Amino acid sequence: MGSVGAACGHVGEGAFNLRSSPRNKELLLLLLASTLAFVGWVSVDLAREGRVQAGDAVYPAVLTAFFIAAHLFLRFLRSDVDYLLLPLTAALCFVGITFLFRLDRHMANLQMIWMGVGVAAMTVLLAFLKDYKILQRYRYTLAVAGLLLLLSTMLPVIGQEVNGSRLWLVLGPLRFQPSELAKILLAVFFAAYLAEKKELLVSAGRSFVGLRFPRLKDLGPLLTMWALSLLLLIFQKDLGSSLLFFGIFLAMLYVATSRVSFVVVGLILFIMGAMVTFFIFGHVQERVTVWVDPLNPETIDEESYQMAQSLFAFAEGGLTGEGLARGYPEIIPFVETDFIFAAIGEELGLFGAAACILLYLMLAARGLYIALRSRIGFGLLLAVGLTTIIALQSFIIMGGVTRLVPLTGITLPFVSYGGSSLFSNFLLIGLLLCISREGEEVA
Amino acid sequence: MRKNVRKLGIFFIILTLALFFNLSYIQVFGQQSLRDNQANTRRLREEYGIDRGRIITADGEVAAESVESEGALVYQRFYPLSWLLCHVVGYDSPQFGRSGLEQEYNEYLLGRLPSQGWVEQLTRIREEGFDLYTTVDTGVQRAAAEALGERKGAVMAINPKTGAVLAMYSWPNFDPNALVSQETDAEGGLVAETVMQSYARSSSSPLLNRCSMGLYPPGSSFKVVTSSAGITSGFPVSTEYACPGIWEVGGSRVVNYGSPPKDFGVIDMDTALTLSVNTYFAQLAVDMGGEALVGCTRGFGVNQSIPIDYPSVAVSSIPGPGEMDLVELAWTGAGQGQLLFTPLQLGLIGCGIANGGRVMRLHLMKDIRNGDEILNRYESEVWTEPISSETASQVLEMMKDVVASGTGTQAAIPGVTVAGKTGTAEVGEGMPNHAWFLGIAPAENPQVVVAVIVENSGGGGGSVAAPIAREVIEAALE
Repeated sequence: MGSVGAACGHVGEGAFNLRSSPRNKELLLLLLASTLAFVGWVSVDLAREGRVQAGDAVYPAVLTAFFIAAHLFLRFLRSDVDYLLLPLTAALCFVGITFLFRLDRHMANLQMIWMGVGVAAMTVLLAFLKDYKILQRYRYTLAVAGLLLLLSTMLPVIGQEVNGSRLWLVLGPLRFQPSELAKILLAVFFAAYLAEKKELLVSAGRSFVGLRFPRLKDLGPLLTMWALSLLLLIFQKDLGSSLLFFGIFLAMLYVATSRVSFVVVGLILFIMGAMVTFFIFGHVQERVTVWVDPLNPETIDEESYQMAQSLFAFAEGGLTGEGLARGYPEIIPFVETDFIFAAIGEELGLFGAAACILLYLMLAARGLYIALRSRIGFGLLLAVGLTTIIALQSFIIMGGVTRLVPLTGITLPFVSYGGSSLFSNFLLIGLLLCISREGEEVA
Repeated sequence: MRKNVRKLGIFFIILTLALFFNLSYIQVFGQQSLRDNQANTRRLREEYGIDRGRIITADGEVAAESVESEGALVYQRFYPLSWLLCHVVGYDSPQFGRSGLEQEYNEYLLGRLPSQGWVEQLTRIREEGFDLYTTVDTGVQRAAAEALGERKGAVMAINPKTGAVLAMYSWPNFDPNALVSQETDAEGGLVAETVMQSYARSSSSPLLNRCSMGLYPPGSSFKVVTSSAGITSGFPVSTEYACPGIWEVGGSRVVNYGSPPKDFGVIDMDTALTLSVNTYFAQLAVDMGGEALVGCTRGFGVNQSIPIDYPSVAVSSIPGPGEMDLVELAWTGAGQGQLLFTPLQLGLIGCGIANGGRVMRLHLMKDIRNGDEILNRYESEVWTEPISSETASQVLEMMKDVVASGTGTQAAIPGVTVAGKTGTAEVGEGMPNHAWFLGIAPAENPQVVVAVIVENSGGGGGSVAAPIAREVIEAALE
């Protein structure tokens, strides 16, 4: 480090050494990412008015300021954390704000506020949680809190049903989707639980068709989680969260135990559960029929309208896209939340959509890298869990709107409109940053 | 555990690839079928969200413009001249598609062409199209409409020096405003749907532009081609034949008009054309041979697709030289064989004769403008040169006599030398004849070529079609 610093000494020493300091790389990448939003602002204005409106620069400028502030916090108080997470998160936020600015200005304004709140929450978490390992100690408290959050929407008055799913807590003017926060709390609990109990879970079992199957009593946690997912599905009609919770749990269980049999049993259980709900619930059947044939002329104006319009949007975009504010994504209902990826596909084309997918892959890769560098099992498992949340959630919704998998309504992390989702995902990134500190110390 | 993390990473990569391949399929390989899906309203929203350019006639009248729609889309078309220019301008309907100039210049009217630099494209607000200025003149078009009246037929007027189409009128016609209307009836059905059905089912085919799509036997008007082919292959105007009322050939016979068929004695080509003598042109055709006659006819555009900026043009036809026996060839020379011509084709022949043998490329577009700025201008060019200028001037001379003293005297205009040729095409047993007239004026310096057909008029070209041509020529020369 010293020799490189000396080689370009005129640039600066220590924290401002451009070539080697992780914080300088972070700043450079942040500025690079911010060009996304600035270019987005210019091209939306040009497409709409034929000239650039200086006032609209508030979106990219304020958002860049948020991230620069977060960067300065890290530079001076937590300089040993990972330097790629923040720029990758920022890139996704910049894409998100550009599309919201293009789709609905009111939502873009609210999203800006939420992004500020999210960045603030992330820094507060980093400031107070000096050592994430103490979370292990509060695992049961966190688990109970997570479950209560999930079940809170079942309460009268404050729990409300929106668009057919009971996912919302309403307190006066504020609406909050507790499952977004619950997924992080439960990931912390799984990580602590599995780090402690993994030896017990793999110690015994019977062999069958080349796979070692666990003893029935070791299946306890798996069955509990399965039951919880089904409960979510049945009582809250929340297909997306149910799939996500179970997926996170399976991924962490596999990493902890190395047992493919758990995954197999888990998948069989999930498919069984899904089939039962398919026959019992109309809305699940509807989702599946839409998935199988969204272009059926009989349903295309009714149930499968949204799905078909989403596919039309992607087709319209083609390879290079229509250009920002030059397509018709507003035809698709809920394009600002669940279907924002269709707007990206229409206006930025396959190139833009693929770049977006790659951003998530890079974020996931960085998360797993942090997991690999963690010295303790809890840190590794927690990083895996948190990374899986981002990876799986983005896959489920991007796969859903492109008809790769049946559609389930969840947000695209950092891009979709939604306060609770943004808030929770920033906390998630904050936790990953915490875990990454420990790795840096060792290195 | 660390090994498992790597496996999880591979799993994430597989998920990414699955997303990517699926997306490539939708956005690239399956793109077209999704775009063409009936339920995909993007194309319509896009196209009818654009303030489509106007179509403006040569004399500055607005023939088509965009107005705010009464239906679900933003804009719809309005045609202030309605039926007068319906076939030329065509219609632009979200339900029935497009026709005429609306179809031909769609991309320009939508502002997508002429393609501009990327800076203009980036900064242009997309909702405006460009204006199309056409060569068609409402004065000439109105004269054609009034002269033809409510008789099935068609009138074309062309400037032979430039190939500019001055008038293209066909009757029966339709009301384009009724077709593009977005009005709905009490049950929510589109009123225009009923209108379209009645037009499509009508036996008089009002949607058909008879100028470019109507195929008729040309009758004696074809004799100008036989004359041209004859002169070209070494039979000068002075060539004389004995022309009895009935001329026996190949075991059959060619007859002149009149009852009994009229005997003209020994006459030259000028007299034969002036008086439209079948037996003269039958002998001329047989003597020059099928190759020469068909070759010259093809040269004028028959059996070829004709280059013109108009979407629906039928190909006129003459049988190949090998497909005709002597009788057939003889009758073809007189214009009564297996020939099928559009009025537009006859107009093209007139253009070649009027313009020293050079047929100019036909066009309806004068220029395309963005406000006052001219983006695209039509440049006249020679399309084909079937005959020499000497041949052309000799045929034109003979055609002057047709109007001065022959079958076409009703096309004469005081103070203007009109050249022309009549045609009376036999349609079949019991059916009234078609009346044709091909006119060129002024003969010294031709400014306009007019081709007229009146279907099943019963009268001859001289009495029915020539007066129509006269009115149109007068309007065009004003």
